[in-house]
Amino acid sequence: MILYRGNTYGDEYRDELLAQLPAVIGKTLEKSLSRETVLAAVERLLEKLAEEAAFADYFRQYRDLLSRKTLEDKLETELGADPGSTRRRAPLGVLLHVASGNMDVLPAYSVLEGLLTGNINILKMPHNDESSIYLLQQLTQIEPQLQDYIYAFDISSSDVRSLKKLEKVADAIVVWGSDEAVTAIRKLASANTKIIEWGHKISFAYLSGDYYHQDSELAQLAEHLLKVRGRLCSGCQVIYLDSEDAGEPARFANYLAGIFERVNEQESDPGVLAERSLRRYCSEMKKEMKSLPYVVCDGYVLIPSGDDALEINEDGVLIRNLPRERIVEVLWPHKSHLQTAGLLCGEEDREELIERLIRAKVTRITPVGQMSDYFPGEAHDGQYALQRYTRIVDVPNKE
Amino acid sequence: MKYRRQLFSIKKIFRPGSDGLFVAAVRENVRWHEENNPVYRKILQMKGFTADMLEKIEDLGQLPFIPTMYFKGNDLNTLKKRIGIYTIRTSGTSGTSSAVNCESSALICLLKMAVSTCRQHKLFSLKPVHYVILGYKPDKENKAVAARTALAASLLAPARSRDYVIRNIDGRLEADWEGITAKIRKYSEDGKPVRLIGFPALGYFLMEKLEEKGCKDLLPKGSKMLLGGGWKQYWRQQVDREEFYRQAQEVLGLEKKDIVEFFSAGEHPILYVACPHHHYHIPVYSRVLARDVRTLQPLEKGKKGLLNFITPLMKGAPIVSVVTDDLGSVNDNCPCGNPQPYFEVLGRVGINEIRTCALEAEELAKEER
Repeated sequence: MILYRGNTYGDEYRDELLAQLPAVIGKTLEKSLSRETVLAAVERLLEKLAEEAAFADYFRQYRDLLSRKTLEDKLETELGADPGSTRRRAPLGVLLHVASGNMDVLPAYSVLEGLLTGNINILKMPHNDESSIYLLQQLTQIEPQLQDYIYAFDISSSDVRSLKKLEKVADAIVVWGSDEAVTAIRKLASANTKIIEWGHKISFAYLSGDYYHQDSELAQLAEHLLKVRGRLCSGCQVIYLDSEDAGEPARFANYLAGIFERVNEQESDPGVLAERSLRRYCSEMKKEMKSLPYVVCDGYVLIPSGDDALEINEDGVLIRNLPRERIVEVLWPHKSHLQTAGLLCGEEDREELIERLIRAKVTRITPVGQMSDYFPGEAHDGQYALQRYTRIVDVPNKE
Repeated sequence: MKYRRQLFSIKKIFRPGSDGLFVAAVRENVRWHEENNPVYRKILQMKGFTADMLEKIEDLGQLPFIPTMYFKGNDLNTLKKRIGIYTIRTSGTSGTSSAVNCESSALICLLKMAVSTCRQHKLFSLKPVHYVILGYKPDKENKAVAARTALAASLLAPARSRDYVIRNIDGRLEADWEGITAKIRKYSEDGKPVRLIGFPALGYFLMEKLEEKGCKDLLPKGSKMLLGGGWKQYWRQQVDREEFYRQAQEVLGLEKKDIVEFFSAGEHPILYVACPHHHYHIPVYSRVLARDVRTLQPLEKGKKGLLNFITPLMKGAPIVSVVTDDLGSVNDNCPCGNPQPYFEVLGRVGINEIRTCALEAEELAKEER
């Protein structure tokens, strides 16, 4: 599926549309897009989504993220004040967004960041991403001016010929995804095309001190695990314990299983409960089939193990020892991939642990239950997106 | 598989007194998989179950079930793919689809079942009809079960014509509302019955279009609407059923009895047809239980839970007892007068990425509107 100037087309129109694209973009570059146009369109989109009952439920979680207030704050934080009378902030021009498929609104959000900075946006979509197309098309219907600023193509990463055509018109490529995705784009891009990487990241929780008596924080961690399931960069993949006792991971896993049980007892939605029970049932089958050392909870799998490596296990969350003295040594080799550390510790240790985590190159430290929460004004992976999507141009002073 | 053959040869699909035969056929099926499928054997061992423990109908609740979730990503087939094995693929979500290997003898059972079921519900007609498919034409690239089912359903009566709401126009899938509404208005004048077949959402949009054009009482006598794909799994817009029926009456002139709702699943390909009270009565070929959403234990009748479908249909894959993503309840005493128990679908498990082919068609419709 293709979104092109507000209309959707089948993929067989790709070559034809790609051929027209440079001329269309050339025309659009003569115009400019105001922030207010974008903010107003997003505001109306949110109203529209809220009117559709089933839809409203689904997007409720993103309402704050997309609210006018949040977006205005974001603009303020990331771009700050007017650069002055001899300088102007200008869009890069044309952004090619290469999106990953692990978060449903992310591709559309990436385009939105491009719009807020006045750029023309071409989205190379994750396969079958109907929700992005839907959201973006809605935007172009609400505000027809945006039709010239939003394009989306469903192009396979192996279709180098088509990607190359998109790359030719782009001033910068914004790439979300794995190291392979980033490497592929680097290979594809010509020397003069700027590459803005938001690579796949890995996040973990770090527990120190008397974490056994922090049931409400641990319950929030359990809820985070259940909700995010490691699908986001900020999703907890490993729970590290500040301990050297080899029996500790298994002991803590069993304790945490009890917390999961209580979280589940408080849940009342039959659909959610049914999902968790089915997952538990399937995980138990897998555990038995393969004799795995899993602690299976309602809806999640805890995997205590003796190693201290930062790894992803698709079946659940790893629980491992990592004494504080070894934090930097163990985590630093992952420096380009570290994102969030959810921290649970005593007040007296907090500063020391934060320092160690920063030295290990973590980009974000949060309470354990809020690892994937969005903080207004926060940076992606330690950098502000909007700044990277604009450039500063020096202009002569007005006499 | 003599018990299976006997069971699927029953022509009166709601014939009472089939419990004994059903249990014998399930036992025969479980034993087959136990002996020929090491993975299934292990599952039974884990749950401490053997085929011999199935003696009476109440024992079915103890038979270990496999969630359809577990079929996705795990090859559990008893018979491997070869000539004579037909693979049923369910539309997958984000790369997870499942393939159930159906052997030719099961296919014959399915065919018998389909004939008996459609006969029971008087869906066969010798009178030629105009078909309007609320979906798309299956083709090489488009192999989803749903599209094929809609095509198969259009074989129930001779076709005078066959039109698709979603068409492949120059290689581009498009909902052709103008063309279809014009056709339906033409058919309404020539007096020959029309059958609308497919996804409820597309039926709903079609009726909206016709209502906008001020159409009333359009379809000739003997017309029907056959719907499959469920009502509850819409992501964007839930079609309110009462509103749907009101529109069908006013715009198309179809009464409740002219609207037929189907239910089926890739891992449980038994065909269910809803009664006028939207209840899926359970035929002799299967049994349905609801299971507690926390404990997964069988529930008494009337309680809402996960639906567990049991049928001794297949040797190719151990789908004898599966739990789908549907929430619902099993009940007796339907006011429609059919004494056989029925199930109702009341929702889906709470995973927002579960998307179905009905949903895909609905999205296509919305984008083209």
